[in-house]
Amino acid sequence: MQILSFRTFSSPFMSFTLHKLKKRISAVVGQTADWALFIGIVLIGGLGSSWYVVENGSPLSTVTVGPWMMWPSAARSDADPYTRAHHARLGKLPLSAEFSQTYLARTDSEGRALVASCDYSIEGHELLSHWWSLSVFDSKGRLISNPAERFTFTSDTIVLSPDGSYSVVLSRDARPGNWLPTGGGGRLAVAFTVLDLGVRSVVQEGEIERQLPTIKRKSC
Amino acid sequence: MALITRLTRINWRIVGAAVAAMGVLHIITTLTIPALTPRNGYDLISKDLPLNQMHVLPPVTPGTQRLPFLAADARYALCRFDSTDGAVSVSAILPGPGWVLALYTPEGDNFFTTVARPGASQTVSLLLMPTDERTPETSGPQEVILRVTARRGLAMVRSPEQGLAYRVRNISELKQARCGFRKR
Repeated sequence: MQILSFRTFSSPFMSFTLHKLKKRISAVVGQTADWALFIGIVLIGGLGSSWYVVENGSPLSTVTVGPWMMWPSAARSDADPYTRAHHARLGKLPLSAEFSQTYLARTDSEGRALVASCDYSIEGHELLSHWWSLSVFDSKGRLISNPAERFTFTSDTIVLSPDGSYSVVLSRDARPGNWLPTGGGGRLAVAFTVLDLGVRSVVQEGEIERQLPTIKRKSC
Repeated sequence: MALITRLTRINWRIVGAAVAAMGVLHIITTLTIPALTPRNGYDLISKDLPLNQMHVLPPVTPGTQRLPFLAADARYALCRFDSTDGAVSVSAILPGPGWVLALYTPEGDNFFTTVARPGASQTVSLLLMPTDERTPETSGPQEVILRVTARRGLAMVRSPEQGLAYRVRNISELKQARCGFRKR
């Protein structure tokens, strides 16, 4: 009988307290969720978008042609903040894009990542009014160690066909002709650098872009 | 229906404020990356270099590569200059296509470049002077006086890789590059 009376006394009080507590907890959870949403959007969106654009470029700061990407304001005094941040972060020190342009490819012409386990053929045509070079790196921009000590071909060292075209083979194993060893494993990056010779500027609209070599996967 | 109920429970004012703050953080991060980067390309390549002296770097190989994506398509002579105590003279022979003389600020801006033209070997002589310095009374006959806002920087002479037959000649030309402090 005593228990019953206690129940009848405590039940409305308890339920009121619980209701109040529940409301409080729900308000705290709601506020925490709002703050979590706020901080999440700010940190992930702010830092993430900055990292992405600095690392990979955007149409505002880079020129992309097929697999090739170039930063047209590199090393210039009037460079945009993304170009500045990209080169500072990666530790690059290129020549001004007014005199030299470096196109970097991390994929083949069909968009598949360049990997050391595959063979590639890079085909193009000589640029008569510019000095140029073609180099292969690992994904972090390091030269790939190889017994032949071959890391690059330049317009002076490459073997051209009679019609002025060239073909460079990227492969782990020795190949006839213009062979660049890719050694080890992992992803690759190919750099195509064009240098002004004081004859024709490298910044002629679209001229270099039209003559960039193609990268074809041969076998894996 | 469930989606609409969920969407109506999102505090859109918070989302709007977050997007605005995200934009601010994006801009601040991008602008401060160059200052926050412990070692940029200038620091990496100019470490250990003597001041106001031209130094020919060894061939770029996996063991000697100082910068990422620095190709083995050239040999380099570098001079870390400091014109705080007076003008610095830089000279180099640019014998043929692919040769370059370039000047950089510590931020990595290539503020001066001259390239060799085909068929003409040229000697380039520069006198780097801070903008607030008076023009010296004695300067070389072919010397170009270059007013520089950056007192410190890097002079780079680039000799292109032309194959084994040209290597000895190119190194010999590269070694003729000079960089030196000119007393007031």
